[in-house]
Amino acid sequence: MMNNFKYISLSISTAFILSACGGGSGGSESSLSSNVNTRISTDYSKYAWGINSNIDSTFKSKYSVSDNAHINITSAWSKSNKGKNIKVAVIDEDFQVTHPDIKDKIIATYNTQNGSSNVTNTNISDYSHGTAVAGIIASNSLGTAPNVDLILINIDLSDSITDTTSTLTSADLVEAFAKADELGAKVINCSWGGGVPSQNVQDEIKRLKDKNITVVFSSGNGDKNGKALDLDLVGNDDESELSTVIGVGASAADNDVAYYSNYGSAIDVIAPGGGSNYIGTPMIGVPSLDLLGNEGANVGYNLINNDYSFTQGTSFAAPTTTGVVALMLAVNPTLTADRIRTILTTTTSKVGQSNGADYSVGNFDTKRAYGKIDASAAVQQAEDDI
Amino acid sequence: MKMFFLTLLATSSLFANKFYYEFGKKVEIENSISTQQSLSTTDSTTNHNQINQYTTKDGKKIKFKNEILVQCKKNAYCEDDFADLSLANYKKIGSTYFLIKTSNNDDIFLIMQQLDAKDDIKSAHPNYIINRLRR
Repeated sequence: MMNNFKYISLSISTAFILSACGGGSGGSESSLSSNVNTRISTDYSKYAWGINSNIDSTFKSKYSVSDNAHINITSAWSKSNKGKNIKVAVIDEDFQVTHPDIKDKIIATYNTQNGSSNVTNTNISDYSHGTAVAGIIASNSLGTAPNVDLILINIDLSDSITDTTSTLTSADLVEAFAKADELGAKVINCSWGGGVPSQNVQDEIKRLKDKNITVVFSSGNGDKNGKALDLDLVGNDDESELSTVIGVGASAADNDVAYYSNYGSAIDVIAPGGGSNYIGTPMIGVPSLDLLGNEGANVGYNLINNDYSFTQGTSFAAPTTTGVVALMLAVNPTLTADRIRTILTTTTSKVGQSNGADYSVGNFDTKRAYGKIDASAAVQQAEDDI
Repeated sequence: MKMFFLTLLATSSLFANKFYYEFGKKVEIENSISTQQSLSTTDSTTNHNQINQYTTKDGKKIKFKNEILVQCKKNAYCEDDFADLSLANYKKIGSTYFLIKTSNNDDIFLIMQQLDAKDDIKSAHPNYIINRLRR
């Protein structure tokens, strides 16, 4: 319907919303997004630089996409049937369950705000965060694991530190994780954060890990100027730093860590999330879903129709990783959560070495953690474990 | 508006000088509870959740809903404890978690102290409003 539009429109906008970590940590981070929108095709894999090696050459040249910016997804897909039968939960907001690129993959929905199954764009926002995150996992042409079963769980997130309308509670988070477990999720994606994890939430996440359910968190998008925060400097104040989750930072199209990607000793890996590694240079995001038609972000590079968007942030690095975890489980369902972490962190590409990365101590670089995930190597190791 | 302030005053005096325990740590309240009104809405249903606020003695401003989040010990049966305290308005939200609905007429600090005294209960504290950013 809406995606039959023939017109081409161009608009570029970067939402750069100042915000701060909660819990009195003193840190701050930005909620960062940039989107692209035009209608020329329904299969945009040629722009999916984060997962595919075979992308459009003109696009690749124009946006200076590195030959190795992707995560080697192709061979991982052939081994894993693209994540078939693996249930993946996305705890987020602004879902559009009618989006044609994910609607047939959604097996369950739950809204913690009212206990209903209605999760569609519950904040009446023009932003498409949960839809885009789900697309990074399960979109037919843009997702890392297009054959997974999606469980979408709505919570009320904040747009910024000045957003006082959010009514998210400790109980909402506990219930969201518990519901994901109840509905059979084996991987849970959380592209949000910025506050001290409550003891209740820590206990619930640990319970999930003990059941070998993998929880993936994004590390965050830097301070008020978009510059990455060292999470170690402000203490253990973010869910992504929990030892019971996989903390994920973002890599950029130049195949190095993104400028905004928060880092620290508790972050595990980086994955394509879009954006340049320097503010001021042209940034290309990763393509994903947008709210249909003229709803949604509707900003971008004149490449894809407005049912889709380019977007950027650690929010999209996390689901890239979540999808790879689903592929690993599709190959080897007996993997424990600890083993998944070990495989992910030991099969990485050691990116950024020409930009000062130093993996000499424990194969860990301060800003790049254990490096960028490699889907092919991770899935191969998962298979070798059988 | 007048009614709002009267309610506020009544609520404030009701909950003065209170405390509770959160995972064994005593949380003392510096001032009385004030009541706010959430402007949050959900899809087709306007959802005006009452939001309350107090300040702890160490200066933290705490917002919470009129609810108590209870974590039970593993394999415990907390429903009996709720019955002992005549708490009927609750729902289970996880394998060991319950959410107890309260009202402005309830002394939630007293309820939380009573819950904390139960052997089966690991912690009982207000259902805090928290701030999490999409990234």
